Formats: sequence, structure tokens, C-alpha cells
Amino acid sequence: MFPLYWLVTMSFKPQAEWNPTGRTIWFPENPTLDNYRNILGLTSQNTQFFQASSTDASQPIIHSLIAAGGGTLLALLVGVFAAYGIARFRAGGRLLPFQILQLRMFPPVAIIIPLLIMLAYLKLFDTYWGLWLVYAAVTFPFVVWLMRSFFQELPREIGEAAIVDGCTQWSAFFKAILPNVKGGLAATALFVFILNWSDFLIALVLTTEKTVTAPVFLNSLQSAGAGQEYGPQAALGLILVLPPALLGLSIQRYLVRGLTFGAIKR
Amino acid sequence: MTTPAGSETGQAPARRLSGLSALGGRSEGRIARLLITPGQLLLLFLVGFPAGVAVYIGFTAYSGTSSYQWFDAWKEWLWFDNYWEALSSSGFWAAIWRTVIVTGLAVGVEFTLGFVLAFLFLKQFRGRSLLTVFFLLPMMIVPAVAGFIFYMLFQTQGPVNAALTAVFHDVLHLTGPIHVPWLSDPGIAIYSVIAADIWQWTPLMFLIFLSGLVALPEDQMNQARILGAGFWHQLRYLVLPMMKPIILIALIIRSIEVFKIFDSAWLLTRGGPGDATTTISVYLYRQINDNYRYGYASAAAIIVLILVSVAAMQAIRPIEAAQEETLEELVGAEALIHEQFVDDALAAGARAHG
Amino acid sequence: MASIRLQSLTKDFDGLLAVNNVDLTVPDGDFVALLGPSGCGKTTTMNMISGLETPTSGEVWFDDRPMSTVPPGKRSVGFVFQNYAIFTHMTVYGNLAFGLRVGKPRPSKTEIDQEVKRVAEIVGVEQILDRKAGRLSVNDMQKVALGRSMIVRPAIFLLDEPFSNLDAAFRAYMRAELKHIQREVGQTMVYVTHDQVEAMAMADRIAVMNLGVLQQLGSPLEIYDRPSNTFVAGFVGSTRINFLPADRLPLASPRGADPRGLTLAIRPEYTRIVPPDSPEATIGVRVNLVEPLGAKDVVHLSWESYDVRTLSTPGARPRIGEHVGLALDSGHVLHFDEATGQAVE
Repeated sequence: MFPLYWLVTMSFKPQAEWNPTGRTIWFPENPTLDNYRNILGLTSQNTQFFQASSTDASQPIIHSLIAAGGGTLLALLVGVFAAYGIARFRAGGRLLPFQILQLRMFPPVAIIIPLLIMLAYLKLFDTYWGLWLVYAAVTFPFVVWLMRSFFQELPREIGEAAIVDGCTQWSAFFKAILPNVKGGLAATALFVFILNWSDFLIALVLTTEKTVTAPVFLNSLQSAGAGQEYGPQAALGLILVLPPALLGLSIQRYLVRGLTFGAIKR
Repeated sequence: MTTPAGSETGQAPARRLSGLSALGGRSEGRIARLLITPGQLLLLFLVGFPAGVAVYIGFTAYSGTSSYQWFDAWKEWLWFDNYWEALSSSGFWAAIWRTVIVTGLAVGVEFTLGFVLAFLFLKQFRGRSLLTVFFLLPMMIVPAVAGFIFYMLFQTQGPVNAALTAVFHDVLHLTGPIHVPWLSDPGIAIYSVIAADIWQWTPLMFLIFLSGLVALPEDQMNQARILGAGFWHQLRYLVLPMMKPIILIALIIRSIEVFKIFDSAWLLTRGGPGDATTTISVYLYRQINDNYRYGYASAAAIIVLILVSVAAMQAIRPIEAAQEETLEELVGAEALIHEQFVDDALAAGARAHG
Repeated sequence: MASIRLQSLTKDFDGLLAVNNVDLTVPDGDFVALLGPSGCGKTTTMNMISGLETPTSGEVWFDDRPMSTVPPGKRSVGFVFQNYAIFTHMTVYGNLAFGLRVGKPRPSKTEIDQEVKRVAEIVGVEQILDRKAGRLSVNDMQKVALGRSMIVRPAIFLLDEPFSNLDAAFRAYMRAELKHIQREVGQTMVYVTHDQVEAMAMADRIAVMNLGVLQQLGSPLEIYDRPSNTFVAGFVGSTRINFLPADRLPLASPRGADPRGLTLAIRPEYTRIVPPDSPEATIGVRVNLVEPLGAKDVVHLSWESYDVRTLSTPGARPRIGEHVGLALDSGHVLHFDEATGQAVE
């Protein structure tokens, strides 16, 4: 609560108030939008440490959007089908769910090394597709777990009724089953989007210039100006944080499911 | 009126989507395989294959300065030298140890706090729904930003120290300002990292335990009250045993996640000062980014993998055993299969305990 | 053991009057049945007796002590819920021992063991003490629920439709067992049911409730033979009583009151089929349906626009559509005010 307050107020503080010696300013005395202008490249003012152009985060923000969005779409595409297969047809055997859980167990750093090498080799380093593939692979288990439990809650009869009415398995899926999990699908999509949007490590390693995402940019700001450029960074932080917060609130009731792999339904 | 668990017929509720199909077994098997193929391919190429590559590279001296491509890494074959180096490296083990400490402390505090908070939120009180929403916000913050926020907060000149100064000035009549070097003292820095994680993830434990508590079968709790059980008795004999599976799952999942901690730690201290907050993820990252020692890092990562897998296997076992029993309890107690909006669920809990 | 007194007991749920000014006394050692249809307030009343609900107004007395300040755990009440609420994660032993383990002072391990074994034998679960309670059959769960409440020797025993989930044969057995135990121990019991056969069979006295209001309190015989209003008359009795307009029947009204404005009621067993032109026939009826119940037949008839039921021996099957006479035994006729439904003597 208070940390959030600090983030918000800092983003509105003029440079003089960022880190004055001997004082702590609890509430901005001269609130300003300069930080936002700065961080979005809307100003030509130079701050103490930066040229105006180098604190322009508008591109990274867009990259974040595209990367997270694409990754989410891909994960959904692959994951929903797989989840349906597992829920309805017991695809992959009984243990598959647990195996997917095991995937989450090791530190992504472990995987990131060969991924870096592979992507560089395939010329996918620092590209959207590179990010999309990795994001999809990383969040795919979440999609499967969540959608599986949603599919499982549907009674068999819905699909069977559609088949009896003359649909093939495919059309039955799209016309009868899918509409019934719309809510769950939306929640899963939002949840995965938030995950991808929040990613730091993967983007840190797999991008350098062209598809730098916002969190990575924040990191580079921090190390560049001896990390004292609180104002614009806070503004960026707030911008970064707002979408997940809003989206997250709307899917509150599914949060516990997602973060515990549907082991606990909320 | 509920059907008591374990009734003779032991029927499952209306046929669900899972289970063996009665229509056309063979074509269904085909469809099943078709459906999961894209997923399997994705995982194969982006997880399985890289894993294999990591193993391969782990046996070589491949690094950023190597003149050859990765698949030619066999040219610098090292057998188990990397592994040996990692296993005997104090830096490696220190990182592991630090990570264990961070995990233990962070999860421990998050668990306790989350549990206590969940209890406090059971009874209805004014503004509870609003407060709940506030409590959930930290969870939704991008971890990297959370790290940054605490970076600002824990500055020696920053608000945390200022607040401490204000408090202790009045209480202890100190004169000088309090300047705890949260980020610059090697002994203290690690606690900053732990604190940041606690702030961000206690709400999750809170949410999990709250849903568990609220779903506890009201009738059994009432019966316990009538039989004379006070709060602590109820806690010990009913609440905790019935929550065991939830507690275990929450602990395990959170522990796994904390062990991998990187984002917030990196933005908070970048593993410093020196090595003070170098968790295992940070350690591996540094090997890649600063030293470019891909081969070594891969080997070290694989060791970590093995360690974590073994630990997790050990931890999962009580859950799998518990799952068997709890399955009947779940059926009988109608617990955990609840999908209600936070307010509704909290209201139900309030009615039960108010 | 203790006596119970409900004094002007009322429970208002935000405008819904679940229990409306109920006055009821259960003497020490008595078995009283709370009888009524779903929603009549009997469960809410029980909850107030046990302390799970607080009354909106009125008071619950155990002997001479008012219970409004006494929490459920301290009232010495045993309560068997309709769905048993067994502690599914404990063994049968654990369930039975629970009341003792949380009691103050806590008895020694051997004492607890003795008591558990004793109660287990009484209810018949001594063979399955180690079984996990969640895996029991419904019948066994029921026994455990009983034993769990019994072991703390409560002053008052409350049961909310405890046998409705059991199969018929076992239900009859449990009824007899329960009554037997109650008599032996002299346990004050309040038993909620919507099954009037059960109430009639088990209770010393029956309290009939409807819509939150106590309709009548009396022995089974009183309830049956002298119902105080049309609701009680209609609710009690395995084959429903016949209600007919008093002014259209050639039967005397009590103390010569004006038959218009009165409803006449007579139980099926006090009517019988006679030949249509017999002098005994009070009214002429048409046979609609014959329901063979084994020991007797229920014959559904119609007279004018009214449905009438009578009992007949299995042999004499009247034919459907036949017009016969119905003799009404004037000695067992009841009268009720048509407007208020109250009995008129």
C-alpha cells in the first residue's frame, strides 16, 4: 500500500523533490507532469542525467504490448486445444498435468542460456517472434492448467448433444463448448497477458535494442544515471503497473486458480 | 441438504467432461493426439530441445568468446569439469544457500501473515471489500517495478529510514537520524530482498487461505461449537487438518517461485553489494552476462535443476498422499469447489462465524 | 437432564418471521416432536434452543436458567444435524472422542477410551472405530453422529430429521433404538420431523408448527383425535382427512350451531362404503380410484365437487365409476370454523 503510494507520488514530483538530502517529502509539493512527458518522449527538456531522447520509453512500452499480446495469443492458441484434449480425451496420459507442474519448477535462468544461443543462431534474437515463441512456451502450462479445469467443469452432454445434432468434433468444439467457457477463457487470457507483460528476465536476455520491453528499459535507466532518476522511472513504473492492476482486479476471482495451477479453485 | 460423503454408491456428480468416452474410442484417440500436438511441439522446441542443448553445452567450455558455433562445442569437450567446478565453487554454494535462506524466511513470513490476515478478514466489517482490494494490489505489480519501488524506499536517505527515524525519535528519544544501510550493507541487503518479496506476495497467501477458510463446512464448525470446542480447539482439530492440502500446495508453489527469484532482486541490488544478495538465479545470470561462461552456467543450472526437482519430489509426496484422502473429504465437505466473487464468499464466511 | 421452556420466542430474518411468538414447554425427560412442513420454523427454533441462532425476542430457559447469555458450547446440548456433519477427516474414534477432548476438564486418555468404547457399543459402531469417517455408509455416519453427541451426556438432546436419509427398514430400526435409549436414560429430547407417522410413533407430545406459529401442542392421540385447527387436522393422518361443507350434510352440528360457516371433517377410517340405497348411507359418491396399500385399500371417491377418501378391506374392490353410498360415523365427526379454521366443540 505505502510502496504504491510512494510510486505514484514520486512520479509526480519535480526533480528537486526526488532525493533531497536531509528531507523526505511525503507528498509532492509541486506536482508536475514533467516526468511523464519525459518518459514518453514528449519533451525536449534534459534532465540532470539524461538527454531527452534517451529517456523515451514510448517505444519500449509498445514493444511490451506487442510482445506480451502476441505471446499470449500464441499460448492461448496452443494451450486451449491442448487443454481440451487433456480434459476431454485424457490426452497425454494421467500424469501429464503433474509433468506440466514440474516444468515450472526450474529457474528460467537455466533455460535462458540455450534459448539465447538457439535464438541467436536462428536469427530470432531481439525479434518479436523470438519473444512470442518463448513467452508462449513459458505461459503455455498456465493456459493448459486453467483451461483444463474450466473444460472439466462442463458436463459431457453439451458436446455430445452437438454431435448428435450433426456436428463434427471440430464444429462441436467451436459452437458448443467454447462459448460456454468464454468467461474462463477471458480470465485465462488476461492472466497470461499479465504474466507476459511482467516478464523481465526473458526480455533482458533475449533483446538488446530493437524489441526492448518496458521493464528492461526501466532497468537500463536505473543503471545508466546512477539510478537517481527517480521521477521518470517512477512514471514508467506506474505506466507499467497500471494495466495488470486494472486487468487483475477484473479477474480477481480467478487469480488463486491461476497462481496455484488450478489446484485450488476460487 | 447435502449428501453425506462416502455414501454406499459412491457416485460421482453428473458425468463431467473428463473420463473415458463411450463414443468412438479410436477416432477420439486420434483427435486427442492432434489436439496436444501443437503444444507438445512448442514445448519440445522451446523447452525440450534447449534443455538438451544445455546439457550438451554443460559438458563443454563454450562461452561468449568461443570462435565456433554452439553445435561445434564438442571441440572443447570438458567432460564433467564444469560440474566439478560448480560443485566445488564457494560462490555457487553460497548462492544456493542464500536462496534457501531467502525462500525459507520469505515463505515463512508470507505464510504466517497471510494466515493471520485471512482469519481477521473472516468476519464482516465495514470497508472490508475495499480493504481486500487494496490488499490484493501488490500481487499484481510487475515484479521488476516492485524491485524498483523498494530500491527507492530503501535508500539510505529514503522514506523507510525517515519513517524509522520519526518513530524511534519519539519512542526512544534518539538524537541523530536513523540510517540503516538497507542496500549497501552486505549483512542487511538480503533482508531488503526478502522484505520486497513479502510485501508483494503475502496477499497471495492471504487470498488462498481466505478462500480455504471460507469454504470450510459450516455444519462441522457449528457442531464443534456445540460440543464445546473453543477457538483454539476448532483451529487445531478442524481448521488446520481440513486446510492441510491447501496449506501444502500454497507452501510448495510459493517456495518454488521464491527460489527462482530474480526480477525484484536484480532491480533492488543487482546481487550486491558484492555477493550479498546473489541468489542462485542472479548467480547464473551473472555468469552469462558478465562472464559469458555459457558452458559453466549450463552445468551449474543443471545441478540446480536436479536439486530443486529432488526437493520438490520429496515435498509433493505428502500432497499426493493427502490428495487421496482429501478427495473424499472434498466431496463430503463441499470444500474448495467454490467459484464466488470475493464479496459473496466473504459474506458467507461472515454469516458462518459472525 | 433438564426441562426446556420457550417463552414468546421469535426470530425475524429481515422481515421474514421464521418463528413467531412460540410458547412451548418440554418437561424433563420428555420426548417432544416438532412437526411441520418445510419452512415452518422448526429448524430455526432448534437453532435457537441450541444457541446457534439468537432470538429476536423471547427467551429460552433450561430449567430455570435463561440461555440468552450462554454460548452454544456451554449449554450442554447435543444436536444431531440432518446431514450429520461428521468430521470427515477424523476416524470414527476421533469423532466420538471429540466432545471429551475439547471439554474442560479434559479426561485422561484411558477415561476417554472407556467412554468411546461404551458409546460405540450403544450405537453399534464398535467394529469400525478405526475407519475414516468420510468413508462410511450413510447408516454408519448416522450412528456416529448420534454417538458423538451422546458421549458428552448433554442435558438436552436435539435431533433435526436425523433419519430422513436412511433406507426405510433402517429408519424403523433406528426409531425404535432411539426411543429405547431415550426412555432408559430419561433424556430430554426435541425431535424435528416433517413425517407425521414418525412423530406419532415416537413422541410423548407433539408440537405442530406452521409458518412459524405453534399450531397445537398435545399428545399424539390428542393431536390426532382432537386437532385444534384445520391445518393440524389435515397435516396429521396417513391418509388425509376429509373436509366437507357442514351445511350440506345431514349431520348435527355441535351444540346446534349454524352449520353454514362450518367445515366438517372426518377421517377416512371413520367412513365406509355401503350399498347406494342403504339407510346408513349419508351421501352418495362415485368411485374414482382404488389404491391398494396391502393391508387396506384407499378408495378415492367424489361427492358433488369434493374429493373424499375412505378405507376398504382389500377383498371388496369397488369398481371404478360405480356409484355407491358412504356412511359417515357421526361419533367421529369434527367441526371447524370455515373462516378461522379453528376447531368448534
